[in-house]
Amino acid sequence: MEAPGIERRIKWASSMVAAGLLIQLLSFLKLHPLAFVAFIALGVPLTAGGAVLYLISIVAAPHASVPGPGPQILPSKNVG
Amino acid sequence: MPSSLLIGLFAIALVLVLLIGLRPRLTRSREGKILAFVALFIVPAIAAWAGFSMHMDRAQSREFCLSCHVMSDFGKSLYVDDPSYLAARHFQNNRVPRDRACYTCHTDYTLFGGVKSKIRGLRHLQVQYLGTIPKPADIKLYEPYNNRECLHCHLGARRFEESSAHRRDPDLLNTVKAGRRSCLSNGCHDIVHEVGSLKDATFWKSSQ
Repeated sequence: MEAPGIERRIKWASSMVAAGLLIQLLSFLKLHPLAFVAFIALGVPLTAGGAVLYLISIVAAPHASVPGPGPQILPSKNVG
Repeated sequence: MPSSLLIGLFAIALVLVLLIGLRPRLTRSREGKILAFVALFIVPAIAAWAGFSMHMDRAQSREFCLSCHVMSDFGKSLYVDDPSYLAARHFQNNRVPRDRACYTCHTDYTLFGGVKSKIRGLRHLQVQYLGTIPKPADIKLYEPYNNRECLHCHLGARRFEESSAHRRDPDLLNTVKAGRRSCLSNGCHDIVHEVGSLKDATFWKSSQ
């Protein structure tokens, strides 16, 4: 089972990407230089920041779910 | 990219991102991890690039250039009912696409020029909202107008090459083509926007 910390970071990343995408989308409503500035200076950095946070969270994640050599259970012996 | 397609792309991106954001447990499975990678990296990257292209495209429109109030007189000058006004003559006779009239003749301007031009574009915004806005008549080009913008269409055209005015001096066309003499020189095509004299001008009313 993965640590809930990763999921918390993924939540943060999702929030940032969603906010960035929303700002980018809203910037299309108006044909104005300020809309372009909002797209470039707010929308894109938020989206990129969220994507980077997500990438960091998966790179830094403990590989608990990767199957590996676990403790071996030996067949029980009948003693006695 | 048509705007409906772009809006669709953003809508899909938002739905995927919200799905992962609201259900981060999905990322525990292998499929969920792939979905998260697509939702939080691939699709937003594609959407941002498509959005950037769209903004660059929209920024070439006349409406965009005239959206700052200080530019409105330059827009008006395109409708002056006087063929000696170079910009008006080009605009009214469809020698430039009407919806991209500004960009067609000012191709190295702000967003589309070098880094210097882009910094100037940002400075225009700063002046528009935080500085003292100059009078339209006081606005001048930073650098002399480049003949390249004229020759882009006129070079090789029969009317341009064989015009009696252009042939009067045998060396004229060569100096113009080499950029040593401006098309907008005194006595040539020197009436362009002339926004300072619009008060007394009459205006053409387009039927479209």
